[in-house]
Amino acid sequence: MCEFCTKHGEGKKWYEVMGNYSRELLARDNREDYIKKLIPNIQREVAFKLGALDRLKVKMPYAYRFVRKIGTRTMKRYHFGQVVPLEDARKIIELADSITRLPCVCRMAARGRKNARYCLALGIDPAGIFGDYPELKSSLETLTVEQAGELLGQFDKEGLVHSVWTFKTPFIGGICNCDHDCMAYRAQVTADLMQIMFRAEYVAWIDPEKCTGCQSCRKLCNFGAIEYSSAGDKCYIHPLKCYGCGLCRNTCSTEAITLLDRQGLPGLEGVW
Amino acid sequence: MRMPVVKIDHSRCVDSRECGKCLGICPVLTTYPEGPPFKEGVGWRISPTFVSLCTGCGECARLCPESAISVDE
Repeated sequence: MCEFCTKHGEGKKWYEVMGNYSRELLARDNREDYIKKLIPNIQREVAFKLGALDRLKVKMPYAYRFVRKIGTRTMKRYHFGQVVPLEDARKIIELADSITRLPCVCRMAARGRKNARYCLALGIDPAGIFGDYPELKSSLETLTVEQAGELLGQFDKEGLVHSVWTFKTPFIGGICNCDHDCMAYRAQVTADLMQIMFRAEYVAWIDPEKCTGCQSCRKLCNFGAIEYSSAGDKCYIHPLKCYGCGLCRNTCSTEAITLLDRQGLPGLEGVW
Repeated sequence: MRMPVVKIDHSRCVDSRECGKCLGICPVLTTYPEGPPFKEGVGWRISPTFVSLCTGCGECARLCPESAISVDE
């Protein structure tokens, strides 16, 4: 159970709580205005704020550590994410009021792609929010739970990591399907600037009895968590590197990979 | 630690999203709107954001059709 589960989870995982998707929550604390400002301005924020943090990291390491801490604390209050495996992502779309497919703002910032429609907005009304931005509005598409479930499966096969995102925590407003063009991934994993998302509530584990050492799972891991030993002809998952997204299971022909509950595994307390 | 300096001539690089050659190969670069976002006539500028990841390989400068990027080690 992560920090958010303790605070907002009511004894369950925080993203399984119906109240965290509710309209009442969305209507409170100026959330709609916040979303309206955040999404169209995210590219500028990335270019300026993350860029400045990156330069600070090299030039003034001590000041950087302080800013990193404050930054993560602020992000936890406003816009934080958590990786979820496919099964959990499918449960989540059933809890939401509405599902809208929209173009990914990260891929726009990272690759200049205008119409990479990889994000699912939950419960919020993007047509209203993007009203002033015809470019974003034109490609919105409302999905049913079945369509969204199918789409998530397709993204999973493509090798994209699912994650839930809050807009002023604990309101959950979207599921992202990301690879390394994601700004959160780039800031947290590639550049290691600050923490912007939690790992999943799970850790993958390879059953050495079933593993044939084919290494096909290694290609799918976005976090470089799978290691191979030629002496034993087996693959191993590094539990401290694993984000628990569960993508590695897709290609395993012997079904040797399962997701274990992160909670209670020795040595993983506080590894998020 | 010395970092490579990536310089971008914005007068030559007009709309980075239309071309996007440098963005396609480099994790350092990102693009952002130079004015209010998603309005017509607003250009998208390249920004060397994650400079700590830059190895100074110069591939972005080599690929740029307008020679708008220069990399100094």
